[in-house]
Amino acid sequence: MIIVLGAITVVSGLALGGLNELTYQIAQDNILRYKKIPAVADIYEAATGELDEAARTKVEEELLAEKKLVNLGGDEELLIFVIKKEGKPFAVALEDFGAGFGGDLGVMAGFNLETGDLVGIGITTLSETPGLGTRVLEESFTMQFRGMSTGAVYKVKKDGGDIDAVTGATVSSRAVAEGLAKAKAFYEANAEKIKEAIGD
Amino acid sequence: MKSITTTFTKGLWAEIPLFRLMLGLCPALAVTTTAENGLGMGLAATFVLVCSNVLVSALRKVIPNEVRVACFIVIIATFVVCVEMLMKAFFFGLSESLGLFIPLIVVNCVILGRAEAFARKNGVVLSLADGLGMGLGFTIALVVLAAIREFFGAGTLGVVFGDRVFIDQPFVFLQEAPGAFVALGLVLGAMNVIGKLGKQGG
Repeated sequence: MIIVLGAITVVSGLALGGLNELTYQIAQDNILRYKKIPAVADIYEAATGELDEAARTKVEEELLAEKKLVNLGGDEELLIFVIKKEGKPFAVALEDFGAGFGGDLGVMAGFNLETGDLVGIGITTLSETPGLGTRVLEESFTMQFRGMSTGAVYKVKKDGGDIDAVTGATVSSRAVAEGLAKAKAFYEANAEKIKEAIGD
Repeated sequence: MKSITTTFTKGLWAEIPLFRLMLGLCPALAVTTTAENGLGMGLAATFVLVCSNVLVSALRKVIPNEVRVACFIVIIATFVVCVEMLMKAFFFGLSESLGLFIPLIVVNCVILGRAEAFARKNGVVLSLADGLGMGLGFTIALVVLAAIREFFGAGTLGVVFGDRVFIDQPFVFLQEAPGAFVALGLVLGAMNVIGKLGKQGG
C-alpha cells in the first residue's frame, strides 16, 4: 500500500522535475516579454508621453534588446532596463516585490539617473482580488508616482507615508509601496555600479 | 459488454458534465466570460481527464483499494501541473487569463469522479473513450455557456470574430457571477425542452 503510493509519488515528482527543467526557461522568457517589458514601457511612457501602439511595440523591442545584467559583486546579479530619451540613457528601471493579498506583487520602478527621482512605476506580476486589489493597476493610482521626489516616504498615508492608497485595497497598495521602497533602497545602495554598467 | 461508441457518446449528451451531472460548476462559472477562455479551460481539463483516466485504468490492479483516492489525486495533480507548466511556456496569454483556475483543475469533481466511477473498474481503451467523451462534453458545455455570456454580456465573440463588436450596449449582468447562474439555468431549461421534444418525436 505504502510502496505503491510512494512509487507513484516518486515517479510523479521525477516527471514534473524533468518537465520543469524543459519549460522553465521558456516560461521565464514569456514573463520577461509579456510582464516586465510592458511595465518598463509604462515607465517609458511616463517619461516621454503617451505612445501609439506601433511606437510602443518598437519601444518594447528596444527595451528588450537593451536589458542589462549588472554584477553586484559575488554571484549577485541584477536585471536592469535602460530607458533612453533622445538617444541618451535617462532612467533605469528595476523590479522588486512586496507582499500582496494573493502572493508577491512585482513592482517595476524607474529612477532618473541624474536626480534619483522616481520617473514612474509599472506593475509586473500580481495575484490580487479582481476588482479590488487589481485596481492598483489603474492609472488613477499609478499616476501619483510620476516624478515623485527622492525625499518622499514610500509608504501609504495610513502608515505615515506619501502614497494615496486605493480605497478598499490597502493591502495591495501597501504591497506596491513595499516593493517600491525596496527597489529604491536597492537602487541607492547600488547606484554607482548601475551607472557604471550603463556607461559601458 | 459496454461498447466504445456508447461510452464515448454518453459524455456528449446523456451524461454531459456540467449540464447533466452538475459537476465542475466552480471553474465553469468562473472562467466562462469569453468563449476563448471556456475553450482553453475545457481542453486543459480534457487533457488531464484523458491522461488520468488512462493511467488510473492501467494501474487499477496495482493500486490498493485503501489508498486509491490518494493515488488518483497524485496522478491527477501531476497532469495538472504538467498542463500548467506547458501553458506558461507555450500559451502564456491563456495561462494569464485562466490564472488560478488551472491549478484548481486538481479538485474538478468531473476528473476525480470519472477516475472513481469509471476508470478504476474498466479497461484502458474504454477509459480512454470515457475520458475523451466526458472531456469533450465538458468543453462543449463550457464553450456554449461562455459563448452565450460573451455574446450577450460583452457583445463580442473574440475567438471567431476578433475585435468585432455585435452589440453596442450589451447585457453586462451576464458577465458577472450571478449572470453565470442565470445563463446556466437557461441552457438547462433549453436542454430539457429539447429532450422532451425528442422523446415525443420518437
